[in-house]
Amino acid sequence: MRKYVYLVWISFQSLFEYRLNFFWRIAGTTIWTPVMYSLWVAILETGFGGDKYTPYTMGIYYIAISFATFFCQFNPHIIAMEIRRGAMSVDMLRPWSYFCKYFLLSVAEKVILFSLFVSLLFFFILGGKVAVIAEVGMLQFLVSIILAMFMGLFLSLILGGLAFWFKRIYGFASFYNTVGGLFTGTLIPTDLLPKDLLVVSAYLPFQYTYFTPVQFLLKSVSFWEAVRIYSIQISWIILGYLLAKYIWEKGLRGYEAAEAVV
Amino acid sequence: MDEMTDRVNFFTWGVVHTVSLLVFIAFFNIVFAQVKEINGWSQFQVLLVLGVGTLIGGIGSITFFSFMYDHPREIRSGNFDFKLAKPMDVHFQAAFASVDMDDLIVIPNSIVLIVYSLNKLPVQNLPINVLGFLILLSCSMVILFSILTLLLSLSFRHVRVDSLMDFYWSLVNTTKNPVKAYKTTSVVLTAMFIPIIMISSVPAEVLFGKFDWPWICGSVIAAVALFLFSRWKWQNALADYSSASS
Repeated sequence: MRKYVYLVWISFQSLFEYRLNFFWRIAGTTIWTPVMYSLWVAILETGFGGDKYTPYTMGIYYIAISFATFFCQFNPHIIAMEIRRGAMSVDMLRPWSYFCKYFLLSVAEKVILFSLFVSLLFFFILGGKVAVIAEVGMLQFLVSIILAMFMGLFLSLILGGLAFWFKRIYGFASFYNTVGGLFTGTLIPTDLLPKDLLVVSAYLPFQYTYFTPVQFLLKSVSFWEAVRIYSIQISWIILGYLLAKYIWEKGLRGYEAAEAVV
Repeated sequence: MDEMTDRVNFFTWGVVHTVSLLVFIAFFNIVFAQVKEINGWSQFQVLLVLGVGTLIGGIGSITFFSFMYDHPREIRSGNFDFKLAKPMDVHFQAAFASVDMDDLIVIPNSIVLIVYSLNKLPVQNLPINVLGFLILLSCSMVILFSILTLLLSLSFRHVRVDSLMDFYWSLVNTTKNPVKAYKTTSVVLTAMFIPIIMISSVPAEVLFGKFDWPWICGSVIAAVALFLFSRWKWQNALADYSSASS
């Protein structure tokens, strides 16, 4: 158990040592978020979407979506690089689960982001500036976003695991993000999609990663509706875990750790 | 060009870029199915900005975007030293060391979208517009290159700056939006939107025949000023390079 605690410690050390790197990651979002927000303010002014969103709630929506994107995403390219360069063979000899190591090394970043975002929300609630966020919604949101983070973790392990067969996985990873773009809620709030696409999105995992958790902040959700959403998220987590486990077992069986550095 | 040796990945990228563009088109189609225009911008004007933004991303990829991946890596590994030893401008060597062919498909895709959008718009004096567009497109590329140079100058001092890529890609991706159609009273947002407008909205406007001279002159001046400033900054930062990581 102690080795896992050390991994978390290392993640904090690395984050603080390369803090400028972390800053630039956040800075990237500070461009994208206001641009998308301003686009939506312009669109809402035309009457699009009825009364589902106001510029005010859209602002909260985009701040929360940006946080969710950050919080739930893992970098599959790190895994792919370790596999490609043969470094994975060293990890296989070490007395830890690679899945756990991969997750724990990102803990510091998640904790800092989480603290920043929760502080921001509490500031809004205590300051009474955002009437739409209730304490219950906050709690439901926290549960949902943590489940969404695990969905992101297993997705990343699946995409990274493809490097056992393919030298580069950039294409696959981007393909997921691209297709998901329309359904995750980053480009358009999912509930503003046309009916046909809305039906399709209900059967896909995308909206449960970013859009659904954020909805807990914007509208009151009944207990049973929340349970239903959590159940769907947990189902996707289980499916993701099983698929990741299958890919990794199959990949490691044929892994020669002899790939060239490209 | 070694990306092309991994054919599966290369073709996946082709599909990714095409789908990515289609997703954006679908998004604007969903919006414009219910709305006639956004702050005076019609559907095909918006799609033209999307096409121009995508084209700029594609041209950047096959020219100098590899700079953002390779340079921090070379600083960290110490391989940058070899560039200093060669009888060629270091900035040029670092910026144009390799060509990223993964994104090649972006260019024909965006040209198709631009031509399609132009066909749907009532455009007059197209040859003059195209000439103006090409000049402003060059300015956009210079602005993007200068911003990248400024950002990468940081890598001489702060060795690990991988996340600059995320930041820069965010900037490049925002150019696909019709930012000039946004209305904001915030000074911060206005300041943030100015370079994005110059990069994609202004060339797109010229292409469909709207010559907004203050913006056009601003783009040209910004391109020259930013290039000179970034070049000066790069040379200064280079003096800080200690080759410690090698």
